[in-house]
Amino acid sequence: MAGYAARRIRNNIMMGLSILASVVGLFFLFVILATLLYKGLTAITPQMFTESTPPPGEDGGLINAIFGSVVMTVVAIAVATPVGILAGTYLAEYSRGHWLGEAAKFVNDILLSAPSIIIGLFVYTVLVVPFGHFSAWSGAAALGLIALPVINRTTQDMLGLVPGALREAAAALGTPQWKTMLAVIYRAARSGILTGVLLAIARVTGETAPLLFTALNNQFFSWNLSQPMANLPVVIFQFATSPYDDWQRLAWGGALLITATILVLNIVARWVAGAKSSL
Amino acid sequence: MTMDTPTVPTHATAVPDMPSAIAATNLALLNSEPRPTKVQVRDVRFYYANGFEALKGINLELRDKTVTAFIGPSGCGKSTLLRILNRIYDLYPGQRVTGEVLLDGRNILSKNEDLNLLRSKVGMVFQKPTPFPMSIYDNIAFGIRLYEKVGKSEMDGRVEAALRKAALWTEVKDKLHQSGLGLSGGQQQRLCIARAVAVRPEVLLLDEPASALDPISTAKIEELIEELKAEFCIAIVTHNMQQAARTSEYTAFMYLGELIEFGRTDAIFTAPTQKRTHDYITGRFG
Repeated sequence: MAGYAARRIRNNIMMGLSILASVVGLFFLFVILATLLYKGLTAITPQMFTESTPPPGEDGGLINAIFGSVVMTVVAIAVATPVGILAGTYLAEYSRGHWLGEAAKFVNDILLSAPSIIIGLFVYTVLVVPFGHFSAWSGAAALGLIALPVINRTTQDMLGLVPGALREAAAALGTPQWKTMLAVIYRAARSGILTGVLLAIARVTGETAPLLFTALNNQFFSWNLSQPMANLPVVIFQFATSPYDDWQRLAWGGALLITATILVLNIVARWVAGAKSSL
Repeated sequence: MTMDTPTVPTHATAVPDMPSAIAATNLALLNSEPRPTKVQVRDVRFYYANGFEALKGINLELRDKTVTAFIGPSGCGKSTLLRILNRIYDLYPGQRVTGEVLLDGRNILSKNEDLNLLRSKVGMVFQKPTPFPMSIYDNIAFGIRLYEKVGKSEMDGRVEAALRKAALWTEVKDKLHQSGLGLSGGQQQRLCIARAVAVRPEVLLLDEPASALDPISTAKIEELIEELKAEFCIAIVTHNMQQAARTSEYTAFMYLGELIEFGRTDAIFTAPTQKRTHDYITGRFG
């Protein structure tokens, strides 16, 4: 019985340490969220969604930055989603141990964890320097390059979760492979792949470094994707490091807005992933 | 079922290098059997990607409108043999087959064989139910649409006929447009059988179709096999010897990749000529 008592004590100690570790992690998360709410809520006004970024000392909002972020994210995801899903499909279903597939998987995993500033520098070199100016197109390209490996990898993982028995069952009816993929396998993996896209959106929404090198910023509302465009992360960066109180307040508001967006995207992603694909 | 003169079963191991001897005994089977041969398996050997020889020269034949059971202990190669008959093994690169499998006299192992067309003629039902993630109706219609252009009302009729054939119609007729995944395990398996018969195949391969099911569902599947054999040439792999005895006219006993004994089911179960067959069916091993 002595051994049992000792085991119980050891169990309690380890359990205590685990709980402590979780509390530490959650504590700082909540401190961050509480600070954001405290400082950001006062900045969230209707004005924030109707007016562009002001010069110091004047009233204004963030609409140009919000619009820019949405536009660049939409363009990035619109390009990265089909490419990522197709690449993931090839790697999961067709490459089958071929050296090209194995190499592409490896490179994709490296790209997945590449520092985003490197991506920014890369796009700066190939899309900003040759054209001689910053542009929203190059910002979207940088965001797309960050989203691409996320979507690619999730697609691979989600297709890998579809049981092989389903592929055999479709093949056993005489289904050509392309039809099996479109009609059966994608259907079975649909919610997982969609989750990957949502997580990719969440990932690029908060990226600052690549945009500093590409889209830069714009004080005014702009529709022109060939020109610099305002976006939330860079505006937050610029306004938060400024000495002006009203700019700092707007930066808090923008930070809260981004965090809330990412939170909502993650919750939606969890909900989509959890919802059993019914049909 | 009228069974006339019992025939001498094949001794594949007694004469491993003499396929002509096996052919001779198969000829004896042929003479006493009015139903035409649908599938002929000739000296089939199967190799996994690592070179392991899982089937070591199998010779047997499947009669039309007849049930043939493949029995034997785990790893004996009975499922492997079944998976050669529709070339589903082809999904996995590196696996290799030698010999011949003749479907109506045509070798389906040839390189030019159109696999999708072959599989539309040789249907298969797997151990675990595999409904597609779509409605019950679409599960059935999916296979039909692959090779036929069918109007709405005719499709409705085909779906109903397939579900009736699989003894599932009365249970699902009010929820045809609900997901096939919502059915119970036994219902899902009958849905898979309905899906397989809906495309009007000539041969039906059943790979332990009832092993994941409860006794009542199993009984339903067995009744179903009894009815389906009026239309199809059926091969069934089973671990359950009573099931083999109940459902089949012919039985092939396999052991370690070899066909030990092949003959009429009543003969195999009452008077096996091989000691290993006897030991297996009386439960001494396996």
